[in-house]
Amino acid sequence: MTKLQLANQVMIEHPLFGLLITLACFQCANVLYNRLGRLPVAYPLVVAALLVVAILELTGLSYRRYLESVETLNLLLGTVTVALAVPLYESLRRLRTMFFPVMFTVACSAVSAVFIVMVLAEAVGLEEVIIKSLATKSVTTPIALSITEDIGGKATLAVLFILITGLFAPLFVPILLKIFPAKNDAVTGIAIGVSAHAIGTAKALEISRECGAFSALAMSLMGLMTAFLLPLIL
Amino acid sequence: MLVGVIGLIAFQLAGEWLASYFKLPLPGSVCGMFLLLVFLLLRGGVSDSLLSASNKLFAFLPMLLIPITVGIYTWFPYLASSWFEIGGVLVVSFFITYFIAFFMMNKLSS
Repeated sequence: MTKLQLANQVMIEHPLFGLLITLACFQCANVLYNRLGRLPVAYPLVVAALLVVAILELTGLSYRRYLESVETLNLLLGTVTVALAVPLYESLRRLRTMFFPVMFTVACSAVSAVFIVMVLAEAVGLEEVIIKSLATKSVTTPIALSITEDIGGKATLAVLFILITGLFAPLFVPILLKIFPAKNDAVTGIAIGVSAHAIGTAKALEISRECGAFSALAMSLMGLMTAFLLPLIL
Repeated sequence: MLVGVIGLIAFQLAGEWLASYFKLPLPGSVCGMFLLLVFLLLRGGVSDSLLSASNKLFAFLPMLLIPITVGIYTWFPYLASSWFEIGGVLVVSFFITYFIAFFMMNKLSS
């Protein structure tokens, strides 16, 4: 190994390298997103992830090493969950008048989301383990992970399906809202929260704080209800 | 803002403690969220520091999701054979779930 290669290696394996490319790719993706007039397909998370993948491939840094170096970001994800109590608190006055619609909607969504995805998966002939890993696809990752293994699915597969489902929100919701306008941001928030959990909530927060709060509420209720329901159904 | 960040992390850890002590089926961060909500209800308001800390965090939420999203590509070979079916099932069930919730809320909310 030459001196140059060695120095490159040291830089790439440095814990800050993963953090740097994550921050830099996110910044680039944001600039691109705004330049393109906030085009749904150019959602920063997707573009930034693709850029990071490209850099990992180019530098030969393994995904495991990369994940280790950005562990702090994963920890902060939990902190964001805690922080969702703030917009939730602010929307409580509105929730009081809509308590039953919200509870009823989320309960129906939790049952139907699990049921529909499993029936569809069965119909197209997917493997048993894939079907069971699909069951939690609308639930926020931390909650889903504790359920999936219990019902006989694979946690890693579940994470993948949850992520893809979440990414549908920034892709489709702006178009859906143009075709079917919502009565208010609470409606949009609940619909996003039950169908697309945390990534959806990130999108909902972009629409408005209230939308984000209701999305966070729907996401937590959805997770809770599924956690209790799923072991009973299966 | 620092006070807000400290508070959030403290509530997160308290949630982790609670979830582990009572063996709750919930992740610690969700417990932390409920604890903070109860705290805010008892206190009757959100401090400026907590407000700015939470707003800053929300702005960076998509960035925090990047590392997990990147992980998708490590799974491509495994699922190559049934990619199309899985994708179809996910898209269709996303739309159905979204529409059920959307139209129910649009009808039921005032």
